Amino acid sequence: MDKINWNEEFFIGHSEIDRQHKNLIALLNEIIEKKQVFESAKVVADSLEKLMELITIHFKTEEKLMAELNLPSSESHKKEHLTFIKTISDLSFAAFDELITTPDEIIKSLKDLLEHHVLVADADLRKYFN
Amino acid sequence: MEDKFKVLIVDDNPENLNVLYNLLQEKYNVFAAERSELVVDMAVSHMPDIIVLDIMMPGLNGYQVCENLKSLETTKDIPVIFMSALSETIDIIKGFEVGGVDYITKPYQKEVVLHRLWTHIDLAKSKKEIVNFNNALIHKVNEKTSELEERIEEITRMNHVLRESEDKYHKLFSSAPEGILIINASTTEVIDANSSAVELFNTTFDSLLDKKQDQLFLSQFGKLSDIDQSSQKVATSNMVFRNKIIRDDGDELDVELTSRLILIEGEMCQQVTIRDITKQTQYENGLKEAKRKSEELNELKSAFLANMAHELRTPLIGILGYSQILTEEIKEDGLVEMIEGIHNTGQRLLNTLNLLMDLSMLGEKNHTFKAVPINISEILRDVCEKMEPKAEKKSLTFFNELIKDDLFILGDERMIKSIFVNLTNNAVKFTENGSVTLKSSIKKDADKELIEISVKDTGIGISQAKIDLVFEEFRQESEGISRDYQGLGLGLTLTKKFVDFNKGQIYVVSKKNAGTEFTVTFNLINK
Repeated sequence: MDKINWNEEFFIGHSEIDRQHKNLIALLNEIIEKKQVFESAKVVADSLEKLMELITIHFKTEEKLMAELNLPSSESHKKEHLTFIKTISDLSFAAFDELITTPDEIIKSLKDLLEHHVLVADADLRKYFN
Repeated sequence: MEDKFKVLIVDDNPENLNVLYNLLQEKYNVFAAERSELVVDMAVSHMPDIIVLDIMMPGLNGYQVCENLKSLETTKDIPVIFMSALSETIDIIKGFEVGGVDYITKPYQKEVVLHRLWTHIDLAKSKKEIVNFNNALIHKVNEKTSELEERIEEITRMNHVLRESEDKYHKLFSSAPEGILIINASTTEVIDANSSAVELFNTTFDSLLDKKQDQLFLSQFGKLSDIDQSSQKVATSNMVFRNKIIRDDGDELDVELTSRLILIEGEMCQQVTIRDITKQTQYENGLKEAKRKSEELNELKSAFLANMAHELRTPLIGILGYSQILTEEIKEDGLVEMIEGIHNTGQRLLNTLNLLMDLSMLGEKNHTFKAVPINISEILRDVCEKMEPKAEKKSLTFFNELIKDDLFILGDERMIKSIFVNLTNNAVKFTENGSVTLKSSIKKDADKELIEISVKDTGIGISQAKIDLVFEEFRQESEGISRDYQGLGLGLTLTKKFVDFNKGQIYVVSKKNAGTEFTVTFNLINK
């Protein structure tokens, strides 16, 4: 599976947010890189746990920023965050129930999720800073 | 006078006696006797070298006197010459028959008498010398004979002792519980074997004698040529090694051989002692197998633990995610606490599972970690902040006796923190009344400085019998009341492993029902 290459489209224009996005993409790339040497269960658990940790901190940063900027889209954006967390949770249950059996399936979903977050969900922030 | 020979002359006629005396006295020491009865006594007292004896005398005649002399041990060897007027052959013969050595008829010629006298003295002298010489010879022969007899007796005795000892050694050889073979070192043929050896090879003595070394043992252990090349020491000392023997029925038997070179009748031989170690080998193999199995099981256990932890971690992430969402969505009193409860418990469960994974990871042989300089004072402060509320919740006094200065050690931050969280957590968990103390101090040891951190409680303590076991995996001392103190029993095992990994030391001092004190030390570094 291809790694995610950082490109101009991902750029938000806020240094802390962009730094966190880069870290999240780096984490996902690391998971893609390591999946060959890990057993599936370990990849699944590790990926989800670490991503959950980083994304929770990231969402707090974004939500705090949106509150400060008093963005009108902040409520719907917060909902996007909860959907993100729910999707990861659902992935973990699916993995446990063996509805998903390969690391690739998980990683593909995480990749889509992350790209959606940076490109679509954070569109309001991008618009504000550009 | 003493040097002269002594002559006893006997004649009842004093005139004759006188003439004879005069004839002889110049050359001899002469004793004269007129009465025949005195002759024996005089002979005994004077021990003459020769006696000249008249025959016809009143009382005892000369023949009778001579017979008396010859019958006495002391006088029997004194030569007697008869001197008589009787000149009949029968008289002369009688003289010789009674033991006389000569017979001179009267009248006599003086020169003849002197010559004959001298001849007989000389003869007697020679005879005496011969007898003496003979006696000396006999004496010597007897001496030598008895010496020889003693030697023979000694040899016989030695022979006996030898035979006894040979007998003893033969018994030792033949009845030894170990099999013993004597093998000619150059031909490698068996030349002797005891009954145990015969039994070990399950064969007969005779067929054993036909065999060569390579027909008896599975692997060869050196011919004479091999041994010659190696050092003298090898040749004289015992060599002990394991081998298999080939029995007559084709079976193989595990044995331990002791081989040494000995000289038997000039031939270099190998004395090979064979001990059956089948049982021992079986036992050893059993042990090896059991060890292998237990190692395998231990690895299996580690792998199982790791898999279990991963497996359980997966849905927990979802549970934590859902509870996080619900925390945002639900603001109703009562429900908030429940959701927080789910979230906090889930988080603790996740931590426990991570501990489990750390444990199995530490069990992996090729695990490595990087030691970096870390501020241990800061870590200990964090531990205090985290643990103090927990202690207070149980109404325990929490004493913070930590050094305020920043101190640095080399290690892994997460592991170091885990060590003290675990120890303090245990102290709080196993103490119902009293206090928990976290204390640090600096100790100087040789040229280095150590930080000594102790975690002390006033809790249930650990019994002496179990104190050595507390660092073993999955053990929790309070088995009887374990329901009050639930936990995986992983904490101390991991703590010990983390301390080891970070090159520290951990000790425990404890008394049942009087509290426990764990002490951990690390080398300090300058930063």
